[in-house]
Amino acid sequence: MTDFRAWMFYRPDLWPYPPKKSTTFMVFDFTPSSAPPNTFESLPREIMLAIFQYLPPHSLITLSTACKSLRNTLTNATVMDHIFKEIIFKADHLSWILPLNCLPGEMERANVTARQWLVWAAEMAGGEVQNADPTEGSEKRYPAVPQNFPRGFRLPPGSRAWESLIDTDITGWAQRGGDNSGTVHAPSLQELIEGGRQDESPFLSSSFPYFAFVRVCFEDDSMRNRRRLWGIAKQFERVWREYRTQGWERDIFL
Amino acid sequence: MVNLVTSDNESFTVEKAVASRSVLIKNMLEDVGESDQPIPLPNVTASVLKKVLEYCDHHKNEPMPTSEDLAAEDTRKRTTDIGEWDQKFIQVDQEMLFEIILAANYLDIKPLLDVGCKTVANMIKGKTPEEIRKLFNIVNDFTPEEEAQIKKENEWAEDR
Repeated sequence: MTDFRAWMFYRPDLWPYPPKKSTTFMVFDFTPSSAPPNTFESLPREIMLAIFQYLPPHSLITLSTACKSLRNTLTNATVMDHIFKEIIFKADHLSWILPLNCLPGEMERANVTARQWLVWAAEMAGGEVQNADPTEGSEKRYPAVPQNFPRGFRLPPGSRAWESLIDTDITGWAQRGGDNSGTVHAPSLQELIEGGRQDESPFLSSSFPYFAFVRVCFEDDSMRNRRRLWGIAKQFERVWREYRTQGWERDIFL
Repeated sequence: MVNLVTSDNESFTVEKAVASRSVLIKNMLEDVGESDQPIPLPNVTASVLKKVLEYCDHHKNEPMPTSEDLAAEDTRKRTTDIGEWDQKFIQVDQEMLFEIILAANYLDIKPLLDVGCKTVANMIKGKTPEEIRKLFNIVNDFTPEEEAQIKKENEWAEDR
């Protein structure tokens, strides 16, 4: 498929279903050093978060490979989900990933898949999901997990600072559950139900697994084609804007 | 006029409109009312405050963003585009850039903080891990085996 670019012939409006397994990062031995941090990590964490949100996914991942400390920060599930949510909704890099209201049936199709992702996130967090039917609209049956799920693994030492940062009024991200011991308890079904909002798109649920979703979309043939077509549309937009604001000697649109 | 005193005890007298670009100073002025008392800024040095005031002076006639503006901005798509004057202004060495970011954060000058964060993001964009290490003085503490594993794990994010 990749060699022959056959993915270019896929429908660009089929969102991928969640994988069978969890999408966690490999964990390497890391002991926080007592040495002074590098210049980048000497910045306060809220500023680092602000910088991360301006980076495209590729640069973010590259930054996480610079050293173990940055990897430890950037592969924290809560941090990653927060950053990717910000990128999806507030930056341009991943605009292609969300459904468009103007295309008939696209929202409904995407929402059905997104609810499957919520079910998957709940399962990865150890919650129970009863007879989830992805074709039904109500989130009552697709309960959302609390946002700080860190899917079944212990939080690395020192990561609590990030958790509390994302829990601030600055970001507006509510955090629930979890304790200070570093181990996050599996939420009960009641907690799962309360964690979700009944009136919103599943993409906006506080428990939506943004990072895992983006990662699978990058590897999915339909989404790859969607990204390509989005890029072409953006090119047209740029050309049109340039024409309308600066004009050309020769009107190529005639 | 407003009198500002830096951490290294240097005094700056500036127009109220310039100083008020900082929400911190604006709130202080509103709290104390008309007063000749100098405002101490213990977290900002003279060289950094000079740069920050240069920015504030250039933007002094722009309307201060209201809470509605900030809410609207929150829903708008973010880009790393920086205005022409701001780009020239922020062309400083890395140490000064980080100092300006910290000062903008402390003084609560959101537009300047945004310019600083965008500049750092633009410095990182498109660089290899090695180039990023060089840029920020980062020591590579991965073993070659770990690096190979990470490279494989991150293949999905490569620009194709």
